Amino acid sequence: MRHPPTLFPHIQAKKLTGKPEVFMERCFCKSLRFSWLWPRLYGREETMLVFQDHTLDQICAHALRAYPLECCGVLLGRRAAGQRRVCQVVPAQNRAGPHRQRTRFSMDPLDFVRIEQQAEKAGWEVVGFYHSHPDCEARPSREDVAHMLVGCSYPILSVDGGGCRSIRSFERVSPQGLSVQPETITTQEGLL
Amino acid sequence: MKHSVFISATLRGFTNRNSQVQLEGETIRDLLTNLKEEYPETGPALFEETGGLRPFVTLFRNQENVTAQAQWDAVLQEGDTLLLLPAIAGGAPTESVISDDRRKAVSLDDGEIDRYGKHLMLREIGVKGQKRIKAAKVVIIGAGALGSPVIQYLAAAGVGTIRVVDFDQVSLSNLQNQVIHRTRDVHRPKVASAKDTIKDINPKLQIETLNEKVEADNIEGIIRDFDVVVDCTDNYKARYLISDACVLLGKPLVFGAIYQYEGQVSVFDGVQGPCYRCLFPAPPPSGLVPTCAEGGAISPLPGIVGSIQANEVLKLLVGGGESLVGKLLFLDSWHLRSAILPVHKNAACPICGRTPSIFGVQDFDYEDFCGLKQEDSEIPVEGIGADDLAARIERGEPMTIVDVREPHERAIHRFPNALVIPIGQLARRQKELDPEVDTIFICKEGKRSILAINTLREAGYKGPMYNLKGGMDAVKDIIFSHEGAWL
Repeated sequence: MRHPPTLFPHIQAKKLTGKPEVFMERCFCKSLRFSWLWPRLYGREETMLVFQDHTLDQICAHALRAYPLECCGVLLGRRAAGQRRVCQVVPAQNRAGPHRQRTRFSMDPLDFVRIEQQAEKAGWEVVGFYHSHPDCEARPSREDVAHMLVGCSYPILSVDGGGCRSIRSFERVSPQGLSVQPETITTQEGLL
Repeated sequence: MKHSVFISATLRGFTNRNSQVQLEGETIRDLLTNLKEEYPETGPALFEETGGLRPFVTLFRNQENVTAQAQWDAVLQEGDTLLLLPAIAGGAPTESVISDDRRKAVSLDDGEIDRYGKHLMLREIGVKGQKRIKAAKVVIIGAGALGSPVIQYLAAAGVGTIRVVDFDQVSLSNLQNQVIHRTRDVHRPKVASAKDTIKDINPKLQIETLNEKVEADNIEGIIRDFDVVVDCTDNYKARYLISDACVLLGKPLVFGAIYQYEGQVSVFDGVQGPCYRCLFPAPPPSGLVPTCAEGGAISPLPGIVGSIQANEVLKLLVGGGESLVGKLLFLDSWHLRSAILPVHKNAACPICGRTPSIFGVQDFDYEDFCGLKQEDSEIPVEGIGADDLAARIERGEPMTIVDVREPHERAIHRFPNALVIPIGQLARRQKELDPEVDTIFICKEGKRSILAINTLREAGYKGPMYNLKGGMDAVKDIIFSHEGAWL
């Protein structure tokens, strides 16, 4: 198939293959060395979600374990200018009704308070929440968006019987309205 | 009595980073009112206009969930702590745009169960899905090439209310690909002909027709009460107008476009996905991309593209399948290739981005944006009518006729002695023109000849130039008194 013309520079594709190996078509190398270039390349300011160490592998593994039900969990780490870094992943129990867990997830707020307090003691902030969409695209539904908090990242994993198919992350623009913005996801091996 | 309110770290941005606040109050409601007073940002951020908490916030009293407003009149005991926590929940996007209340309000009678049997048999649609389709309201803007298959398939599927908007009348050249109209409908308004066809397919549907052009002042009224909008128009001004109105009103838009052998389909959902402006931030220069009437289109192409649009509408109504939100389906019917290209939301989009600058369709000048306005500094192009030209030829006046059409167009009919200069070569070949004599430019509809005249003016040609108004279409009806007149 002939390659479609690159008339639209802001159209790219992100691909994930079976085992959680993430690569993004528009990044030139997997490390963060050229990360300062990315927002300028396409003239947009997207915030960046950085998965340190093996945190991305961990959430993919959780999504696979939970399949065909939705998984959910908390992302702990640090915030910096224009990016949120994930240093630790805390998988959580999906408390949605037993027959609804294929298409719904919900976390017990009291569970979350405990996770948050432990994180504060260890010096981490809550930077976001992840969940999976079994057999469904990695895009937020209206219900997802209505529950999003401003200032947190929400990566969504699309998973099916063969593995994690794709991951996309979003953040909410304002507490009023249902507008979300996509985020760039990147991984980084080793500590900085 | 003072009570503690614990605020989750994720919500402390609105309480000046305080994790615990002490507030006066007897009941939960008092405490919340005092919270809003003490920290005014919490009001609009955490509470809805109705007074309840926003979906992403939950309230606990010790270990008990007291998010519902009905529980806020409970009197607090000493030592009670309120916890303001995030509600972390969500679900996969398989929901339909039709709410459950509307679905439950309709029922299917025996005739409909028979008629829609093929839908009821499908697991993903079934009775629930068909009821959603029946409860749905869809507006289709454009009853032409793309509108024909969309209107017919949505009517056949049983969409409860369909509104068709088109200002145009059926003409003979439409019948090549606008299969909703018949030969006897020529010169009737397109919406009337479409309504007749729908009535024949499915008499029980609610059909509304609007024989008007979509403009900034009527677009919101046209789409306001509907669930899905389908864009079957053929010009950039209408497309940007419809897309902006849909984003502002939160309506999903199913977009389709055709050109010669190529087609594009996408679904624009301003909430979660990109909008038309994210994909195409600006239209091409006016006159560059011809309409079907100028550029041509192969007959079944709008049928293919429009059927995919109808499919997307049904998926939105039923709620399921992989939708084209955030994707562009690109089809080439001549080489039989297709591609699904991901489309990303543009954070700098003026209507759905981080800092929008367009807040109403009335505020934006679409004509200017699409280059449809004549600039005052431009010297207007002089035109002559077909009758004038015929009269001049009859009188044998000296003049040069320049034909700027493509070879396959000239094969249809032509002036045998006209100078043939494609637009791209005009600037180079201006020496072949005689500045002493009138030069008349001819193309199919009279639009490319204007482009030709402007090109030559910019290249510095000084002789008198005229554009044949209406182009060859206007001339072909005129019969000349002798054969030599076609020279």
